[in-house]
Amino acid sequence: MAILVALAEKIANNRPDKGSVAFLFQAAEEVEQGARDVVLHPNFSELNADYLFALHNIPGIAKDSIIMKRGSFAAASKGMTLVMEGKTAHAAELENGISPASAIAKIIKHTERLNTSKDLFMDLCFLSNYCRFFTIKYTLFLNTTTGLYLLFKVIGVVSISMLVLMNNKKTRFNMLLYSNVLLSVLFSFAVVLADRASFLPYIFMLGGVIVSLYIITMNGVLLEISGNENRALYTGFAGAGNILPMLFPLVAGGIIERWGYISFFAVFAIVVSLSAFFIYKIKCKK
Amino acid sequence: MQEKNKIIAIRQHIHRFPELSNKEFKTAEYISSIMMNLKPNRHISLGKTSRAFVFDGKEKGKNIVFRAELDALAILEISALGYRSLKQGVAHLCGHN
Repeated sequence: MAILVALAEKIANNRPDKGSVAFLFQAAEEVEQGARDVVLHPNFSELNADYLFALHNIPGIAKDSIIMKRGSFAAASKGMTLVMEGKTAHAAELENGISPASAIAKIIKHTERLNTSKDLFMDLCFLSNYCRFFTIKYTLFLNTTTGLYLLFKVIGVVSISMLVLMNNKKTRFNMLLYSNVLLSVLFSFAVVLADRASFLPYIFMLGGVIVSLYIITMNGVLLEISGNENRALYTGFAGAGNILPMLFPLVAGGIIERWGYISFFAVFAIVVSLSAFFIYKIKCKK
Repeated sequence: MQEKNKIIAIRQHIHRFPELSNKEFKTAEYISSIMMNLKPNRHISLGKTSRAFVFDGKEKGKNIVFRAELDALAILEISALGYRSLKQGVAHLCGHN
C-alpha cells in the first residue's frame, strides 16, 4: 500500500495528459475472493481499465527491482474443512466414546503421502495440513436418550405403586410420608453427586418413586384424617399447595441462575426435611 | 529524503494496525484520508472496503490501474520491530502494508 501511495504522490504532482491513472486498494486478497468482488462490482466499469497492474512484493528479490508477469502471479489455494462427529465419554469410560484423534492421524498420514506422490499432480501443487477446528457433536442428551430417562421414571412410578398395593394392610401413611421425605433428600444428594450420565436413569427412577409415593400418601392421608381439627389443617395444606406449582419454577429458576444447581438442591433438601415436622403434626388413625 | 520517510511512516502505521480480509475498515479509512489529500479527480467505492482513486488526464486515452491489497493475515507476529503488529494474532506478513 505504501508503494502505491508513493506512486500516487508522483502522479498527483504530474497529472497525465491523456487517459487516466487509478489506484485501487483491494480488500481480501488472502481469501481468494477480493479481486473477483471488485471486478464484479457495478462501479468497476467506471475505471474503464486498459491495463491493470496488480502489485505484490516477493521476498528474496533484489531491492528496487520490479518483476513483471502476465496472467496469474501465484497458485490459487483451495481450503477443505473436514467436520468429524465424535462421541463424548467420561474419563473412566473411554470405551463408550468415539475420539476423532485417530481419524485425524490417518488423514494427516494420507495427505502426506499425496503430497509426496508428485506424479498425481498435473501442475505445481502443494498440500498442507491445516487443522483449523474440529466440531465434535455431543450426543449425550439427544431426544431418544431423554425418552429413555422418562421411561425409567415411569418404571419408578409403577413399581412403587405395586409395592404399596401389595403391602396395603401393613402400611401406615405417615410412615410412607416420612420415607418420602427421606427419599427426596436422598434424591437431591444423588443429583448433586452423580458425576456421570449412566447414573441419570436411576435418578429418574427415584424421581418416579417419589412422585408416585406422594400422590398415594396424600390421598391416603385425606381418607385417614377425618377429624374436624385435621380437616381444617388439610384444607389449609391443599390450598397453599395449589400455588406451589406456579411458584416453584420461578423460585427454583431464580436460585439456579443466581447460586447454581448445588445451592438449589441444598435448599430443596432443607425444605423437604422441614416437612417432616408437619407430618408429625398430622394425627393418623393408622 | 523527507518524502521517503513519510512513505516509510505510512508503511509502519499500516503494519501496526493490521486487519483481516473483508474487515479492513480502519485501513481503508486511513488510506482514503491519505489519497484524498492528493486530490484525485474521482474516487470510486468498489465494495465494503475496496476503493479506487482516479487521476484523470486532460484528454481521453488509455486508462491504467495499479492495485494493492488491504488485508493482513491471521498469524501472530513474533518480532522485535518497533512497528510490529499491535493486534494479537493478526499481522501484515504478506507485505500488503
